[in-house]
Amino acid sequence: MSHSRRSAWSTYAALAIGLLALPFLLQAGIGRSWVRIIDMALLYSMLALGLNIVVGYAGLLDLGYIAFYAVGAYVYALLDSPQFGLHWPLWAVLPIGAACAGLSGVLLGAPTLRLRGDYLAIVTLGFGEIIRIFLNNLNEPVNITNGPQGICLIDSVHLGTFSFSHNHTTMLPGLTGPVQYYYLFLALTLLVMFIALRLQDSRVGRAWAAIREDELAAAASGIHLRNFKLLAFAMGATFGGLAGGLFAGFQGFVSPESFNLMESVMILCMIVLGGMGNVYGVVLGAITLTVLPEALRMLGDWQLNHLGHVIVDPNDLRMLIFGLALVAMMLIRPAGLIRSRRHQREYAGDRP
Amino acid sequence: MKPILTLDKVSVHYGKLHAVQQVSFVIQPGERLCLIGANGAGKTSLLKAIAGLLPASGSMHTDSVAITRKPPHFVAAQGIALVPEGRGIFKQLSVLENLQLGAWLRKDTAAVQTDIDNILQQFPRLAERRHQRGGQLSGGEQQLLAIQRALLGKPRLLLLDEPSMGLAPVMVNAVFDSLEKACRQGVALLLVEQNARLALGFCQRGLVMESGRITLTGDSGSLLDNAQVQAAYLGL
Repeated sequence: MSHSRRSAWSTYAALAIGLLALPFLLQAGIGRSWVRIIDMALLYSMLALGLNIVVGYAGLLDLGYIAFYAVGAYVYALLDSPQFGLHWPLWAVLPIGAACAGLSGVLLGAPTLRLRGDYLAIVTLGFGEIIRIFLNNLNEPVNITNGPQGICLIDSVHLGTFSFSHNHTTMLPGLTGPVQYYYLFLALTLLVMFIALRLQDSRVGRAWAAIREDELAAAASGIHLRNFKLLAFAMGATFGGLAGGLFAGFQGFVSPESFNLMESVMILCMIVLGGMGNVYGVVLGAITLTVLPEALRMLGDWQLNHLGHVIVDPNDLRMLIFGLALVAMMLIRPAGLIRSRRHQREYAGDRP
Repeated sequence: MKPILTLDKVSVHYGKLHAVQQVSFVIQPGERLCLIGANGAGKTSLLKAIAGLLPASGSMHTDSVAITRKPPHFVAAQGIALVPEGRGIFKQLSVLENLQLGAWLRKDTAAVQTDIDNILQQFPRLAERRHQRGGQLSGGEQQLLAIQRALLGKPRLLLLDEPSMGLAPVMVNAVFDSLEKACRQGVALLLVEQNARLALGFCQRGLVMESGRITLTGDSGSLLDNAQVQAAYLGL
């Protein structure tokens, strides 16, 4: 084994150990709540990776992506809660949720095939709102979604008798619910990353890239525009639905207000910040934008402890810092934290 | 021999505007046909309609199937390749990826690789820059790339929209040299070109288009001698 390969392996090993130990370190170091925050960051990573297929790979600007997350979450909630008295197993509920989301992706995609850019953005934005308003109002005449109250007492994510929400501290000290979710979400995030990477380098990925670059030339080369656009919508939505189902089981509660336009915008920000089209960048963006607001919250506690009262509410600061961060990014790293290969080429100039 | 493409009373509308009106002509296998005319005469609309990028009325068919109102990927699969106006390079993709996409419909992967290798050998500038973005090439190199990309699909008919536009004379020569080579291998050509002298010099037959209609047809020699053509398009 060559030296460079050995060092690559040791880097991977260190990374794996670091990822496995992370929740325990967080619990011991800065507090339990941080494990939950990292769990959410992983859920958002899956979401952002899904949206990245639509926006980053195929170049279709989707501003209603959160709707697929909502579909996945509500499917899980309806099939695994006292709402209808159903308690279906995980292996059925997650795929059904993902499939429903994928189907709604096709339903959104089909009428918008001819739209591009701003027009597509507005229609998808409308679609996102329609789903949310549906969920808000489907409590009459037949109560399906329980309206704005949402659905609570959702079963936790469970495999057989093993529930991810129950502590198993007797098995291993510190193995709490959030830590177990961490491992589940980590595994699924890695799976989604793997799929996303393979897709990018596949024939399908190349067709998407061609459509993104020049739709007419792509069509004239024989690429079936309709099929590949629908495939992008469906695949992105499927990942969104998967993340949504996990979210419902993780939170134990869903309501329409979790799926508003700001959430769609946030996920898009994660992609833009991280580096559109780059899988690692997108994950980094998702983690940054989930962790940052929580870190800011600590600023409020600090003010309370040291100054006696909160002078600047960190919640107000949040949007300001987001805005500044995005502007700074545009100036310093316009292609995102981690540039995609294509962008590297763009900035590399004429060097071969 | 059956014509490779037959157009019968083809019209294209943009709302109430008639861009192409009742155009009929045929192209024989291996023939070079040029379409000349002023800006806005409907040349580009006609090419796009043939390629399936614009809806058209009337009838269009190849030697075996109808392509009227068929989607572009279907038309491409019949061996009709379009090199669009402005070249249609995938700017963020590498030169190599651009070429590979040209062979999208082909299943013979090994032969595609050989063809790509041949192209790179023939055009050293493309070979040097094969891993760079298509958008970084000069205009002429992009045009060469666009033509080679289209040829990689092994078309029987190549539709070319203004290949000389915005190119330096030396690049125009390079572009037409590459077209000459393709034609010698039996590819038929429908060439839309502003530069009428160049187009008529290169093709055997020409069509003159004015406000959506074909007003003159003939072999290149007779069109070059035609007083109307001389006055309107050759500046004599």
